Amino acid sequence: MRPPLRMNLGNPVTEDDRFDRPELQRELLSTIQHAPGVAMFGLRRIGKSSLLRWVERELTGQQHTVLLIDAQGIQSLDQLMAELLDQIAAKATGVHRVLLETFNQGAGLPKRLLDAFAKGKGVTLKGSEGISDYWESFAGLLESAFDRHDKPVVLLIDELPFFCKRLLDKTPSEREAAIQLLVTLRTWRQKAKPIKMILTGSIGLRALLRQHGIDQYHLAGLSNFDTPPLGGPVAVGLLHTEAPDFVDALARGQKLQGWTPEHTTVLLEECGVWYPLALQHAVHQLVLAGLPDPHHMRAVFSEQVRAMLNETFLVQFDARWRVYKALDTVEQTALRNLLGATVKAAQPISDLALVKAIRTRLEGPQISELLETLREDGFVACRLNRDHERFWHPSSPLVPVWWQRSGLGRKR
Amino acid sequence: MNGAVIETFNTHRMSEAAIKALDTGREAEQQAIKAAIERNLDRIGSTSTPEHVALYGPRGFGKSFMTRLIEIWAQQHGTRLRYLLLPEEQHNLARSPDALLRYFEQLLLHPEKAWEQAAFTWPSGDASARWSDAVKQLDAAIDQTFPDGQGLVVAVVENFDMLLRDVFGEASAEERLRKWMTRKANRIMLFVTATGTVDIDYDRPLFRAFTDIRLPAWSEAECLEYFHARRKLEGKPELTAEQIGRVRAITLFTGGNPRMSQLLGQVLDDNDALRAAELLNALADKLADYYRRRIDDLPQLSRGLLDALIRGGEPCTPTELAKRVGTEQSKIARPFALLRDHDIIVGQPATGSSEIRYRVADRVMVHFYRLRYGGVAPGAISLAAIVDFLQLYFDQSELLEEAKKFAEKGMHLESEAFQAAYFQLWDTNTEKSEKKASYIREIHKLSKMETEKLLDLFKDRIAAIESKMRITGIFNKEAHIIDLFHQFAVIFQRKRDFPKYFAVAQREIEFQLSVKSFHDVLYFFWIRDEKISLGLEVGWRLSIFHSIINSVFSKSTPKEQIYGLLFITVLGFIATSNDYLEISKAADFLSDKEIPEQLKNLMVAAQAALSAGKTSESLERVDPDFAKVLRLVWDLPLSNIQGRERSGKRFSRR
Repeated sequence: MRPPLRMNLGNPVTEDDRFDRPELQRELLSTIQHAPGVAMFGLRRIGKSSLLRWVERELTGQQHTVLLIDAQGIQSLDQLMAELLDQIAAKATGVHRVLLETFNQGAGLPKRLLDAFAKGKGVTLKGSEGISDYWESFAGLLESAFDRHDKPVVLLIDELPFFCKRLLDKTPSEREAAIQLLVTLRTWRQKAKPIKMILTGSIGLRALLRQHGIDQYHLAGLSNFDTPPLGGPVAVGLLHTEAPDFVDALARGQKLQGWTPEHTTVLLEECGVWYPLALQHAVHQLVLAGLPDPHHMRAVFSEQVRAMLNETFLVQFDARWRVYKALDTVEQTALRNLLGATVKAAQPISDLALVKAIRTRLEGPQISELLETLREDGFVACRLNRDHERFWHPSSPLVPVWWQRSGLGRKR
Repeated sequence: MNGAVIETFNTHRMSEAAIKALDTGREAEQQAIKAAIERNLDRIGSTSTPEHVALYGPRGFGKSFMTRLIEIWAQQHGTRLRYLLLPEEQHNLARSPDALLRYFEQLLLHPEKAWEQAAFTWPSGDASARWSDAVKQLDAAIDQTFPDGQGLVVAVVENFDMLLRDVFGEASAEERLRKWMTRKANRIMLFVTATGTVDIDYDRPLFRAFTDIRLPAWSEAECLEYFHARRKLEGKPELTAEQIGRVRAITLFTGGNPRMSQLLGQVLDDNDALRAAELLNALADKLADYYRRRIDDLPQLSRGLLDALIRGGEPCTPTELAKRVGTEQSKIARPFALLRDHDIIVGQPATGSSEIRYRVADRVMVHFYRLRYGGVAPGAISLAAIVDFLQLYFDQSELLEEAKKFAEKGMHLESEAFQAAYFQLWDTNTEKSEKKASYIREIHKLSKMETEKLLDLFKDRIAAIESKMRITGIFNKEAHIIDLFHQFAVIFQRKRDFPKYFAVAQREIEFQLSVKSFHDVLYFFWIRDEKISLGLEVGWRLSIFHSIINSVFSKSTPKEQIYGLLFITVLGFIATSNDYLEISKAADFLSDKEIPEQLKNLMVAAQAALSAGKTSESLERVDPDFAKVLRLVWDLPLSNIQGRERSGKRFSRR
């Protein structure tokens, strides 16, 4: 039996608020061990940041130096780097020392920047001239310092796509700064001894780069990783008892008097999608409704829960699909047909079967890229079989619901 | 009375004892907030992020009251918990997101100086740097407040949706807020209240950042509980059975809005409907800002739908509303749902249908809307606009009694308002198939009144009926009113009170001829009569045609009136519509005849006897003179008609 789970709606969770997902966590660790970088993109509020915090803790425990940057609210490359330097000062004193030594030797950076850095934690670079003006030198110094550090450095950047979007939507120089960052991150991944990284975000980077006409090559070395809903009787490939266990642990954590397995069953049936947020919200609403017996629970779902699920998840699909309208017609059609074929398939469908199903003049790599785009945007998820063949399926039961509602399947 | 009405419901200034005494319902919501705080206290010392709570509810639903209740509860946690209750608005934070954190800092360290220290300062410099500095200083203040690190700050910010819009409007500012809220080991919990949305917009950084709790409207029982508690607090006697009944009316009328219920509660001690109406008007006037803000809180399309709902009539299904505004239901789904989410509208299943019909929950709001946006004519009496309230405040029979009461006082407009309320209520409560019968029964009840008063009321009723027919659309206007007149006529006929009978008939024909020509009216009945059983309708035809002829000749000589009586008496024996028409052609011809005054009386008696179903033979046995007249009545018009050339084609048969 899982330990009781404390309710926490709306936040990335740690410790007693976190529901352990051993299989998913193992898979994530395995991915970061075998790949230089992991891209964990998907819908908002599905648990990516919580997973990122778990990784931070886990890798720190495994003698890694983990630098976690939350890119929310950060408006420039300078601010991002200032945040990174703060992290370095706090968590990687070795790196910090190396950087200080190098900076003291001049290092090709203006004195003003060196002085600002030397002040240590909390440094904020101001003015028109900043790190981005000396980006190559600065990135090189960082890389060198990371290499000389006594522990492997893992870089975690949360909400990177939003940060890039902000820069790409601004001035040409800001756009250039965003590209500089992406190039640097790619370079670090592609080193013989890569600086490992996990990049997370609520919008897909591929669609964003395509929208802004930027080469997808900058994403080389990133393995996509899905954050699926909690597994249950109908989930693909995950522990079959994950969702019921989650609800049960949550009920015990809240000390809900009179909660029965039947409550759990009805909740899971009615909820439809088993992201932790959705299940917590359902329990929260049931508590507010006075915890009705299982036979009367359904009304709470129809009145309180489903509207929230719609507002939380289905609207995200709407917003993401709108972004695709900026793509060329052939790509738009292919995206629609790929998603349609995935939704209609009774079982997860392979790349080969998808190519046959959609009949497009696009080449295999292009189709693969479009599939990854759909994946980053939370429409589809992918599992590998033992031959490393990819099999695609809707990322959650909400996708077929949204597909039906959107009317895309009816378009010619 | 108005002065007493508008007392401010300022919970921030209410005493702890009053807050506790008036604590009504919302146990589950209270418990959910307390549980979130308790969980956050458990998180202290760990890396977990505290939950943040958003309490939603329309204005006046008791959000501020809830923050005070939680404040009182929080005091029991002693030094482990600091509860910072900010004022309801924060004009001092204009364009300075960091000033919010500095405000918290002041309240923590120097609450006695917070008034001066938290004053507005001009925003200058790098916003990001200012925010970072403010975060650090606040953290230091928290460290100072809880030296052992084992404490939680609960910062209560009301109208948080407004604050987000005005102070954190830039996405970067909201992102910084979100980041601050979700950072590890944070020791400040935000407990915010809002009428609009705070965290449901996918494009905003705060998307789903709070544990949402929505305050429901008061139920009838909760409303009652509140009034019991309030009267006890005020040292008033317990509610009487009648007052308890009115609590129900208040709950329904305000849609369970606590503030409105509290304000309207003053009518519990007052039996006078007019004063209740005054109160309602005063509320709509004095609370104009409140209602404007409630409407302003809505997105534009939702406001448009609200307008269409009120102007076009309630209740209404989403399908009907979509049709009304000229679009498809799918297109109004989102703005319509927001009306529901803002507790502006409530739905009830439609009778005999799976559809839900919606109406505005707070009827004072509707009253305000009508008053403010032209739904009530300038100078119209207050009662006319509060028919809804009257329906709830009085039961059906009371409405009728009030209508009579005002009619007796010569206050016809007031009487009309009660009649309108009565008819609307009747319409709501009565199945369509039963409406006509029920209506007629009610008219019979009116027969107990004195004739002249009855007629006065009757006149008012025409307006009420017209109003009702606009609402229901189930009756043909003229036919319905004729039915109504007829019912009066029958009453007086049966009483053999013929002067009154004629007076009623006179009214009927006046009405008929005000909307139609004589021949059109006749034609109308001809069409109608072919569709109904003549045997059952003899009395009806008698009275109607009597009235028609009577009215036609009313401005002529008495003799012509008698011809009219004669005419319709004959009609009572004629079985076909064709003959009605033919007889009508004879009207001019008959007007030449001299009939003595005595005969007039006999004719009346004959008509009454016939309409009562007595045959000429039976009458002859009782009263030979009467029978004689009757025979004359029978013979005269027929012979004249027969003697007249039938070439007049004033009416087409079909």
